[in-house]
Amino acid sequence: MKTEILHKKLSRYLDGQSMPAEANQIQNWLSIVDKKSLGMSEEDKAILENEILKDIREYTAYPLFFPPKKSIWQKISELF
Amino acid sequence: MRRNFTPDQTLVDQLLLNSTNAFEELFHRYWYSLYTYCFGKLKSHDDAKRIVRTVFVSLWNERNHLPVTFSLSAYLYAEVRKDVVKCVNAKMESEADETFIENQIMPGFTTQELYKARRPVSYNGVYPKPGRLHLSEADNTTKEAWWDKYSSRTNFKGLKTALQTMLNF
Repeated sequence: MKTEILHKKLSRYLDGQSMPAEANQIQNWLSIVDKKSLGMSEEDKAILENEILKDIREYTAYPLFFPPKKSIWQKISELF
Repeated sequence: MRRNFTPDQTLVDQLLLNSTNAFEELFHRYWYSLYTYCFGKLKSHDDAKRIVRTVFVSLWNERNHLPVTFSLSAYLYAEVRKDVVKCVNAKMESEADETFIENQIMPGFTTQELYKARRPVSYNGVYPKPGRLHLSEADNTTKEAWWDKYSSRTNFKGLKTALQTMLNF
């Protein structure tokens, strides 16, 4: 299959105008899962996790609008 | 490591109350599997990171419009799949990613790969049992072919004997 043909197919799929056979082909490709693990160490994983979460916080600004609620124990400990 | 055993549905309900703790717990549960899926498809850490971020941002923005019968994992994977297709489509428009498309994406659309995806689970080494029936790979193509081969080789001797025993009894 040529790249141009695949490009047109994917465009039609995204527009919701693809033929059932084309949609089936793309969904089959999406369902093929690469079972190899990324091989990331726990430290790298934690760093990446924090990076993505930080980005999400910046995009949504939810800590600003909805600050996390403190537990009763945290409130008491802050009094002292 | 802190573990939280609250079900997804409860956390999704808490999202409606703008609970950021519930949102972050859902993020900790799902980010890695989504990231791995994206990276497996796109072979790019930046794209995988961007897609995971986009999906969770859209989840937060849509938290007040989630349907009653809402499956979080189905929603997340549907969004990720859509974004992966969008990303591949965008890469096809730029010439810089031509080699990536040729080497990584196009092989996934070969007939063999699609055949593998459609292959039923039961043929994935579960049966025919090794040593009992010696069928070649070509015989595993369809269920009918396997049944024809199996039924022709087995004369149902055991079944016949059992029935006779039952009748005599």
